[in-house]
Amino acid sequence: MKNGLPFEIKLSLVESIFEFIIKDIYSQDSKAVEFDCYAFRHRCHSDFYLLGCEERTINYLFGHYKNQIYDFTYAFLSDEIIQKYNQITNKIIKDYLLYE
Amino acid sequence: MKIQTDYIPFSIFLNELIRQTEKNLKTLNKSKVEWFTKKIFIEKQILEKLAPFKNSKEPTENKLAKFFDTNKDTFFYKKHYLTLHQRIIQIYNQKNVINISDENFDEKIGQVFTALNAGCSTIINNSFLIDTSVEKFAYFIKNKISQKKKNSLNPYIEISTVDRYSSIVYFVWTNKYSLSDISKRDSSTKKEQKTYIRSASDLIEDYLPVIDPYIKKYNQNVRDDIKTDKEDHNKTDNESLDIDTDQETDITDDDESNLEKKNHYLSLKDNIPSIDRYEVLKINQLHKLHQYFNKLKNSTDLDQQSFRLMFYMMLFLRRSPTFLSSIKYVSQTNSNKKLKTDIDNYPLLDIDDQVIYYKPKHLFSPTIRDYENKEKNEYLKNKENFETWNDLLPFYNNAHFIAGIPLPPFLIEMIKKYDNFKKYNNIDSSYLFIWKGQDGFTNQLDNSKFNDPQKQLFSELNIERYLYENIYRTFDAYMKYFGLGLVDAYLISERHRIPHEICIRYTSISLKILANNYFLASQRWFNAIRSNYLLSDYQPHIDSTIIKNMPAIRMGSWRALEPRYCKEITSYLSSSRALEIPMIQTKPGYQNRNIKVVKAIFHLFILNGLRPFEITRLQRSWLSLEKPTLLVNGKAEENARLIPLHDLLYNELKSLLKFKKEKPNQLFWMYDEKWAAI
Repeated sequence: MKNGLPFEIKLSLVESIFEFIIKDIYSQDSKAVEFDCYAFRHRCHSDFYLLGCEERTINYLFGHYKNQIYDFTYAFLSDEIIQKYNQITNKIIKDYLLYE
Repeated sequence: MKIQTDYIPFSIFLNELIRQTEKNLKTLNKSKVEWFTKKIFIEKQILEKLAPFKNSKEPTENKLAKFFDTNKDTFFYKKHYLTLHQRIIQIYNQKNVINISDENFDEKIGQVFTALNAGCSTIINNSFLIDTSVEKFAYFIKNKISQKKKNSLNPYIEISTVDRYSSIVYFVWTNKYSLSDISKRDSSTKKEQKTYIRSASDLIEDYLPVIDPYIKKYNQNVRDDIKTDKEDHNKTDNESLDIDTDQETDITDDDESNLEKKNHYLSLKDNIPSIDRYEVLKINQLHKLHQYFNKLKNSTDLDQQSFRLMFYMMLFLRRSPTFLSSIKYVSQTNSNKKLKTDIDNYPLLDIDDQVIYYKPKHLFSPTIRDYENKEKNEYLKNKENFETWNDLLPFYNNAHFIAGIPLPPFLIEMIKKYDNFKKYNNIDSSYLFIWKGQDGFTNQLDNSKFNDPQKQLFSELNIERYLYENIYRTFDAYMKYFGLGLVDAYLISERHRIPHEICIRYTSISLKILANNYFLASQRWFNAIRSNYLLSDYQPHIDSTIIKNMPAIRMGSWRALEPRYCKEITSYLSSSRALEIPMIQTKPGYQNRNIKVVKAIFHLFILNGLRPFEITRLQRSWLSLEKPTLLVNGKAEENARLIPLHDLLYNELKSLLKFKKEKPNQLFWMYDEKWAAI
């Protein structure tokens, strides 16, 4: 502690930071809003689906629970998935992240 | 145990024959649908041809020989049967067959059970057969149990199956413990082994709930017999209810009364043409229904017309009549407000969009009226529900909860014809379905009205009993064969059958994607019904251009962030305002790093969809320096997986590695001044 240990990332810290940002932008005066970090994840999931990504690749990328239908090996990352991923992320970046 | 090989019950043979045909058909490498049709066809053929042999009293070998000779050139050849016969004997030897007529019935079942517990290798598949009818067996057990005292039970037995092709019961005895466990236990302690041994009547108590309906059936049959007997012989003893277990075997050709009894049972079974609750309407039946409805096309009766439309809507949308009868038209005057005002209470039909808009049950959101009548509403009585919705309402509009069902073109044609019919008769109403009421027209459905045309219909098909559920299940059964996925079927019907297979809990799916799949499948099915043939390669040309790019359904969309929030969060993080976040304020040297960490986490959320706890676990060594990939350790059930990274994100994460290694393994950490001061 004396040496100035860094503060580890914790769930509560991450949530409180983003909560603060959203409050600062939109609802400074309104009541406290319950915010969940999973909201980002679901946003990403729906974007991938709407931009035409297959369910199989989505399930790989998001680490969904393995069931009988989508049976694949996790350790292997195929080139097809990388190509598909790059195509879609480029679109998402154009939508959200190129704010200039 | 002795195994009887001389006498093979005919029903076993039948079962095995059908199974064998299924296997052979699978090897032909044909499509699923074709296989399905052939299977049904062959099953029917076999059943028809075996009918004369069913009641004959000859030994089975003679029966088989006769059967082969008569049907030599029809649909199989002799070799197949011979191998099959051998195979049946094999199976018969594997399983332990027990007759109820045996005197030592109790002991034999006890032996089987003890052998199972000991991990005996002679009993294969943990199963044995009981060679009587179901009802009789059930009644026998009930009597046995009533005689003996009940002991404390541990349920060892789990599965029991009743085969529908035969009167034989397959009781499959399984232990909760696997055989290997038991063998270990036996080697260690021999005392425990005794506890597993118990008499058959005790064990069978577990089956009573399964057996009860059969007992009722049997009692009814016996009562009917007693009535007839009383008339003839004036018997009064109720003890005649008790079954002599050798009743069937003692039947001879001379006893005419017994034969009559047997025929009576058989006739009872055959002459009850009713659809079971879990059964599905076959293509033949659907074709007949379609022909019947085609005749009704030009009828002037309102009820018949609406019944016709409702049947097709139920069939292709898998919706209940209560849902369908509450459908309203979109009012053209308030077209802009249509989604916000009316949809709280009614599903709305828009013919121009070819969509039914509705509000899914799971996305119930209270309206302003509900808030006014807070005390009456059951959902809002809970404080938690009330508070959460109170907080969320300013963020999300009511329009976010609306979902749509796309309507295939042939259904829309039917709806338009129905509308024209209504206009011709000067009927104006905001509801889609209208029936004749006592005082004018109503939208509310009378069950009696729905039943009357139904009776006419199903009398032609020789079906007495009929339920809505049969129609629902036809949708489930056939739509798979015509290429509709489970997820799409769920989106239309809003009824999930296997929740594990639906991975869309938190997504919104556009109507266009859904409509393309659903239109094709439904059109194929419709063609199959019309032509009375399952497989039809005809692919109709369908324009789904009219359907807008609005979401078909939003699963938990109240938790998915809107895109505009994402945009503004990124702009916020890049601006100078980000330095004023109180959680980030630290030493001037580390302030930039902290913002970089927050940015990188945000990008991991948006571009890779990682869970928050996965981000906290990330380590330095998991980021590969050669390729833009990252190793992620998910839940305990899942394996670790490699994830591709976008170049932008990869460079961000690499720049974080340049800082000092104060906490060597952690990829993400933030420097806080408060912690440093302690």
